[in-house]
Amino acid sequence: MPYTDILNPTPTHPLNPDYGFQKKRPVTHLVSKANQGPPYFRDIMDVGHQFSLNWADKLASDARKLKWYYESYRGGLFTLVDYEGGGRMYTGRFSSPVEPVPTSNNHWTVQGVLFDEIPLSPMITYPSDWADDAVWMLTLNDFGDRMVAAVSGTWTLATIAGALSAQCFVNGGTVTTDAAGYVYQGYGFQLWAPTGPAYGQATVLLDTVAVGTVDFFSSSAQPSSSLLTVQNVPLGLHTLTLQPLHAKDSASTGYSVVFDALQVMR
Amino acid sequence: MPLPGFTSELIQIMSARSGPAPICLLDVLCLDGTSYHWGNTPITATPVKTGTHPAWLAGQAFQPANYDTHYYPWLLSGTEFHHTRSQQSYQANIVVQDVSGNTLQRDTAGMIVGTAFEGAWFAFREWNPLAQQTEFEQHGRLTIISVSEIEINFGANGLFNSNDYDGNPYEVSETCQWLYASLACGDTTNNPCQNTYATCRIPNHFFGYLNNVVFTSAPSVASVSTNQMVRNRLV
Repeated sequence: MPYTDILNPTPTHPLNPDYGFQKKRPVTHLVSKANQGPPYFRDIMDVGHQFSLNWADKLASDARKLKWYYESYRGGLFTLVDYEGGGRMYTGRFSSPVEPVPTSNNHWTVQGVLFDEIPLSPMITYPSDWADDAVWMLTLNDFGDRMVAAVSGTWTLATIAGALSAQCFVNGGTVTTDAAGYVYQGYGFQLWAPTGPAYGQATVLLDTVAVGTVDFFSSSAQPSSSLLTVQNVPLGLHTLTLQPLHAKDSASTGYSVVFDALQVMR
Repeated sequence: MPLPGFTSELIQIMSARSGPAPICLLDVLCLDGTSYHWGNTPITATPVKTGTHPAWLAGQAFQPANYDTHYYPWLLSGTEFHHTRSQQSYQANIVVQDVSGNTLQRDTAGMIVGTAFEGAWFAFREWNPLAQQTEFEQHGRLTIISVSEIEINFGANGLFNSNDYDGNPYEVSETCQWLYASLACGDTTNNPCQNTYATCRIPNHFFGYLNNVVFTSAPSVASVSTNQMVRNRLV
């Protein structure tokens, strides 16, 4: 069954759910906290969004079509568009049965149908509202934990003016087998880093596949900006790896590469 | 298996107050040489061991780029792993999904039938995806506990289980434990001994510990131990 099948292709389509529906995201991490002290948490699963949908006063043909979607896509995926939420698309299926109830002549109501977004599913359009839906992932989180790992090679924490993180993860950039890793739950990402006259270039891998090259060079020191955007990534647990290329702009005086921050689509 | 050596980087990542949970990875090398790689998330990682690819793979629509490094998200749980300092035996529990496949033949159930899983070697790891290092690793052998149409339960035994081996049938004793006139005894005089070294006629076949104490010089009173010693002699 195709994820390209859209339940509600237009804002006026009769299968649009009643708006104001519950938008829920299941808890995907463990939290523990001592009586006194900061909380601890671990990401443990990659569950997608969940919506509880209602359709009031629909024609019998619409109710039958909703039931068809439930039956047809129990083993497949279709797309739901959230027009109230800016037209964002979700790939998933109904996980609870569609049970139309007659309310008057040729009027049927369907209530409490759960739509589950399925992780790792392809999408017609991947989420792209970076201002409203993306979250920041810094080198150091607010509790002071370093969230980036030195997978190989020597990486050091350094304070860089204009960076988003209090301290960035910096590598000399001359060893191409060096690597720093970041693991996140979400869709696509934007890699943010400060640039300057003494920086080199690096390749970025997502789940071991190269997705782009980043040049940290600029003729003068610049504050952190988005250097790479990878948007078309299905929801899931992803590992981003930054590897220096031991390459640089001809005007650069060094090869160093910097990991500052990620903006992760959620 | 001993715990893997932790790098300072892994220790720092593990001790952070937040971050991703470790991912469970299971490598199985069956007695017929086929290998399986299962995890609780679909992930590419370096396997502990590889083998031949199962025939099942050829009929699948999804073909991973590299079967040996692709972990199918089939592992539901791996629990009750223990490390002890003794030879205490235990059995951990590994649960694998058995829902995928078709109505008549589940994937995992078909593998159980077609592959020598009983006694298969396994390596179970808790893999830190951030540091890309192993937090915990256990090797052992699988035994099939139950197969249902939802999941398959494996028992996971350590590589060494003292219950699987016969103990030494002999005792540490001053008494010879050969049967008189047996091939090991070697005496043919038809005159049974008393299983002591003193009565043995084939002393180079004597199967016991000699415990005679011979003083080669007369000790002085001062050099004789005054500690009481209890010696139990069987003969």
